[in-house]
Amino acid sequence: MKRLAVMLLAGMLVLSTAFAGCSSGGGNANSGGGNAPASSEAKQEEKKSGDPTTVYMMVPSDHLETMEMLFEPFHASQDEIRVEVDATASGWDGVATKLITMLAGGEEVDIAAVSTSYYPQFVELNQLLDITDHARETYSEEEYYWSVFDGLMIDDHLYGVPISIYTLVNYYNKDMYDAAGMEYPSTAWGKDAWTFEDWKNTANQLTQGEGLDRQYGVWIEYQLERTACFLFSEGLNYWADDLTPQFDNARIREVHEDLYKMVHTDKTMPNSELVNTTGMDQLFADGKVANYITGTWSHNSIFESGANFDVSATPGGTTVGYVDVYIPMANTKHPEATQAVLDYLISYDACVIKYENNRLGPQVNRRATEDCKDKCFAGLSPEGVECIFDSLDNCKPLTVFPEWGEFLSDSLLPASNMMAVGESTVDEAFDKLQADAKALLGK
Amino acid sequence: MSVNQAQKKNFWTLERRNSIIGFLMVSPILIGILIFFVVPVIFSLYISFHEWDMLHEPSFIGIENYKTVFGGEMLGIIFKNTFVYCIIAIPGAIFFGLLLALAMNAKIRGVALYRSAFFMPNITTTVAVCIVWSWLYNKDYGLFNNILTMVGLEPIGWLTTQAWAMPSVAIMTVWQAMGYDMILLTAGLKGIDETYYEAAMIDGANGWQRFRKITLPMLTPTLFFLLVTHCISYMQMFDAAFIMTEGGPGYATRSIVMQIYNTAFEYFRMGEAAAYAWVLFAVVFVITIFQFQLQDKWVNYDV
Amino acid sequence: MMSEQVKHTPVHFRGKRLNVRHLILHIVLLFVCFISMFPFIWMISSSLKNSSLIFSYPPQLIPNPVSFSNYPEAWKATNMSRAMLNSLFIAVTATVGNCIVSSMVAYGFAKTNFKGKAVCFMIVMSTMMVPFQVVLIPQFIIFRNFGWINTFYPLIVPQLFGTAANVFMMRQYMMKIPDDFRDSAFIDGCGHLRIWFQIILPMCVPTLVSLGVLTFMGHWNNYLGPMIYLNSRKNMTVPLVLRTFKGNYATKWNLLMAASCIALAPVIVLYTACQKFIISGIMLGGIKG
Repeated sequence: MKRLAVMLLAGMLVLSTAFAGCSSGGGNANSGGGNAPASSEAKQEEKKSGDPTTVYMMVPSDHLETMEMLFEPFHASQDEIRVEVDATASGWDGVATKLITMLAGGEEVDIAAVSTSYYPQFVELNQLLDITDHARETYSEEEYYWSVFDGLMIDDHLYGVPISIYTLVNYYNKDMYDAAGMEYPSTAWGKDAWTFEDWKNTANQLTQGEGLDRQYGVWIEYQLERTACFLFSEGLNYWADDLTPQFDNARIREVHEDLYKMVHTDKTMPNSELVNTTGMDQLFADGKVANYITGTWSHNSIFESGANFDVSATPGGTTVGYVDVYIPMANTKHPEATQAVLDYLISYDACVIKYENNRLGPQVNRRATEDCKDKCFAGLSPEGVECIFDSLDNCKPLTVFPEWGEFLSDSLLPASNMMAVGESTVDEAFDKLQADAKALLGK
Repeated sequence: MSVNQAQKKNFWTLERRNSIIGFLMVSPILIGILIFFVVPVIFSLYISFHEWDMLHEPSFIGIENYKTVFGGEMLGIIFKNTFVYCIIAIPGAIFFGLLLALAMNAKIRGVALYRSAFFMPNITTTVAVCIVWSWLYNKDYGLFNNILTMVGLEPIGWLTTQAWAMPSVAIMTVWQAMGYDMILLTAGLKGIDETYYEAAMIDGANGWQRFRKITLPMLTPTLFFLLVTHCISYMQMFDAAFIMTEGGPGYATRSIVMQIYNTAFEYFRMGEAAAYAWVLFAVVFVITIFQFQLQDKWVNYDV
Repeated sequence: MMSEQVKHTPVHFRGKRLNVRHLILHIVLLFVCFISMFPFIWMISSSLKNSSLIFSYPPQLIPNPVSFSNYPEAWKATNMSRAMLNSLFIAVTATVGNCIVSSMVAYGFAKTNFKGKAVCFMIVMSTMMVPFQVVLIPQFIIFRNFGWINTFYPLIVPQLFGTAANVFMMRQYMMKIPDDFRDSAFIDGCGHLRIWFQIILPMCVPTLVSLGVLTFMGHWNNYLGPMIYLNSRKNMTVPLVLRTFKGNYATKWNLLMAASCIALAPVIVLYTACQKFIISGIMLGGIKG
């Protein structure tokens, strides 16, 4: 029996070692709420400065660098709040998924970055801190573009602050236009903008060569969230005001038929596989693609790729606007600190940092925007910068609803992908989208 | 100790004591099964009858989840995909494993070296292997298509066409798994008594006849083992397709487990996901039972 | 006498042909070897290319110029050192705990007698038939209720109760050890626990190592479990880090290949060192029982 006791003791020892190890490895993560800072230096700092509140923030992993840039001066300027930025997933949908897992797991997340598409879902799930009153008191009309906050209101309540206001614009390769002796595309928005037909003609004119050496006239991701910019210009949308799906609309299908032909028949647009392999920034910088319609979130990487480029309006003159959101969580243990971090993220200082480093596109802070207009968006002509800021007045948001996340990953993305690789025709894909949308919203 | 024992002998016989210790020794796994298996299985059945997103209270909805699962188009798609994968990967891995095992069974030099080379893909991290293979499969720059164009064939959209995506994932699995099968089959071959072959040679049987009449029947237990275990594990395929194609193009590589994962951890419909899991279990169970039923017909345990 | 003759004659007779056959075999095996190893060779080759060379046509197997800079860049961008420590910690604790407990349980099944042993063993074996996805979701919910999300517990604790497959293999091996060892120890007054720990376990060391290495590899390579349970960057394991890296650097193939090389290096080193054990461990699983 004594032996048994010894054995049991040994077993317990193994177990407890494992548990201790787990807590040292895993426990830190639970400190999201601020129980135990991760590193020993942080611990020392904690002792020195009293008791700083740790705000735990979750962003997509490609935003990490920007966040570090932003919070370095923030941490230097005060001792009360530490922000612990974390990133596990690479994309927006990854963050949304992880976030729900963490909420369901009872973990304390204070702030998360989510895309427009997922914002209503979290509001619907009742997981967000209502900051309406604070916003009305603190964010003045002089300092902020209130129209952006208004856009984020759901039933007159605000549950987050904008990370930035992105729009789709057309980046073009100046060298390729010069070589072809063509005029640069127009920076005018609205009625004076170049048209979808102009864009298609440009595509034909600038396309030449064969195989891997082929130069393509234009590119836009064959993804319905992007191609919406052609529809918005014609007053069309995938959804009617009462959310009736419009995927059976003849003109919407016609636009996508045209795009389909450009990818698969005329080959004036590179196919998605080439783009996914080589990377659009690379193709654009290498002079393989002359016009590249993308969101202003790509600006920094395009700039760093070394292309000789500028920006024009998207064909049709009305573009898609995206407002990604920092959302505060309702179950946060320290709403004041969380609020303070949100305030900082859209403050003058933070917005200036973002502008100066070409991160995240136009900001909601009016004063920072006006001060930085001449030094933001590196690599652009003044007209180009102007064009980006003008796009803000000529954009429409995508229609989203609480089930959007599921529609996106189960229907819209697969269908877009199938058309992009030529595995289904436009009619097939749109028939399926129509059916899926009806089924989902009918529930 | 001995005094103690003597006192308690009437009840604590050595035998009884030992049988209790024996039971205690196996009890950890029984406890483990209770906590991590029995309770979850019951719980899983429970939530499959509820609507639950984990953030709010579950609400009972009867067989609604099963209706959704059987009524939707996804069930057919994911089962078809998973079967396509199994039908290529299982025979492929076993066939190439067998060929290799036979080749290695000849007494030639360097067997150990070959064996460790063949087996290496099996132990490497699937995520890393998938990254490498998606590069090999690349349509424009991938090595496979380079070879195809060199010999004058049309390049194939390995991972981007619906027809090829699942077979491509399965081909990678064959590459990964054949070393494992080879090792098990080598062990099986080693177990065959030399005298059978000698007797057959005297009877003038040629190589193919010897293989057909001796080797293959003698290997059937190993082949059966491989078939059953591969079936169970390949029906649960997830990593490879999730990393290489994320279920695309369209739904072409969405497997059963990917659907369970998506439903549970992306759409947070725990009940529906549990229902999918039960359907998967039922299918795996039936297939396994079926295989055991059929084994009398072809598996040879006598020799 | 007879068989000796039979054996002898053909060898003598086909002395030359045999060599030719072996040569062909070697060529075939080398070719398969090449196929098995090629993705790894290609991975290393690509990881040493700069970004322009990676898209060159025809593809070069030996890059010129060789650029090693992908490695530090990938290392820096992935937070790999932390991930490796995490993976190592999870894999080692889970493996050690699992192997010790599994061997104890296996001893219980192989060398002790108690009422209902056969039924217990059947129960343990039957769990192997059930796909783990059935329990995936409820397990997640149970661990969530324990407050174990984003900790390593869900990946380790279930292992500390032993696993059916390892129990099966250990038992398989222990059954082959004659009961005389146990019985003579009994006469010396040893109990089961002591016999297991001091007599049987040392005899099982090769099997234990085999199973240990295989279990370790399984945990090191595990993707789905960590993906579900671990959330913060500090807790990432190697496969997760690699996957996130793939998301962020989708078109930087040379960096992706370098990161894959880094992630695979420990596995390949361990494999090369322990391949004998691994292969005998695999064979153990195939023995019919």
